[in-house]
Amino acid sequence: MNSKPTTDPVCGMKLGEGAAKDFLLYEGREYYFCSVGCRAEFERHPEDYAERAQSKTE
Amino acid sequence: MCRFLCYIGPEILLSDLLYSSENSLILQSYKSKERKEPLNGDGFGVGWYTPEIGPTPCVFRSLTPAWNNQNLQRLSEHVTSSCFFAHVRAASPGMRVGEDNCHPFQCGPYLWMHNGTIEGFWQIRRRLRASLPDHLYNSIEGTTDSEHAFAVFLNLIGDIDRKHSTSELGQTLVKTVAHLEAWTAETKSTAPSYYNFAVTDGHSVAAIRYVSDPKVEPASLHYAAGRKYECANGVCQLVDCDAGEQSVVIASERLSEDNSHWTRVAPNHLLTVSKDLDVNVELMAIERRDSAFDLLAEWRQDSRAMSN
Repeated sequence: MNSKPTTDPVCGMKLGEGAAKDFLLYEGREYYFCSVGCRAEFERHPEDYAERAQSKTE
Repeated sequence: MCRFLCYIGPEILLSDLLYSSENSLILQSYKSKERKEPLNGDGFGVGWYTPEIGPTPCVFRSLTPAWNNQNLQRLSEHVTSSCFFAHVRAASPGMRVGEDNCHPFQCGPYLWMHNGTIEGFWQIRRRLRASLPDHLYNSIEGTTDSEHAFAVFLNLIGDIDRKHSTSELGQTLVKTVAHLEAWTAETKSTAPSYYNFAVTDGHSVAAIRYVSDPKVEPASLHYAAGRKYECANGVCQLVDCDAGEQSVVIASERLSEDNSHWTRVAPNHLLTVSKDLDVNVELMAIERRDSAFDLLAEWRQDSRAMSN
């Protein structure tokens, strides 16, 4: 997957360039994941993970 | 499906851990919040280490529900340790209710707990048992899928009297899942297995939150690290502390409502805690059942290359 270096918001793993296995768009923001499982987990609790991801980037 | 709890850190009183938090394991035994069926009353068990006596843990298991066992209450008010495993059981359909089937299971220095089920266990049981050497085959006292999985883990880790690193503990746990999934794949079953396993040797802890299909929600598992488990006026909670007082708690359910102290273990990830309480979370090499065969073949190839 063509992705920039980022952090998986579910498991907290650092993902190097192109290392993401999945992604989704939530409330206008892209989130990248190390696995299908982390994406599915994000979809089950999107507010929790989006909030945590935002607080880490602020 | 069951509920379990691991503690590693400074020495604490067992009763404080089991009874005195907002959502204690005893409360979870009759009123769990993250299972559809709140009762976990098919027995319980606790295991703890006393390094001054020896490397093997003490285990106390009983068939009664944890919430009304007076012996547990009395005993726990006089037991302290820096490493506890505790489990309340809800027997899976077809799994006999009996003391031998209560977790944690123990062999040598190891304690093992499971929350979940091996899909098609009765179809793979013969195959699984045939893979074991006599001493592990004969060590299985009960009938649960969980204890059989423990025997597979012990077979893969090898010499149980040798000290294994935290990483070895974790990677052996992952390999155990790969073997179980490969056997289940042979049955052509597509229903998921649920493997929330925890294992310790009293120094390190490894735990996983896994389901065969990554799109399915696995059983719940959380951890809290870097805080002290402190009790005051009969209520215990995780509080900020100095480095030497930190602990790690891994639990099927958060012990308090304060989400800021707790992190969900990501699905199909391995969580390890070293002797120095360093916490590491990583994606498991096996992410789904249908990758089990390829993964085992790859590991066999690597192993052959290393021995040549």
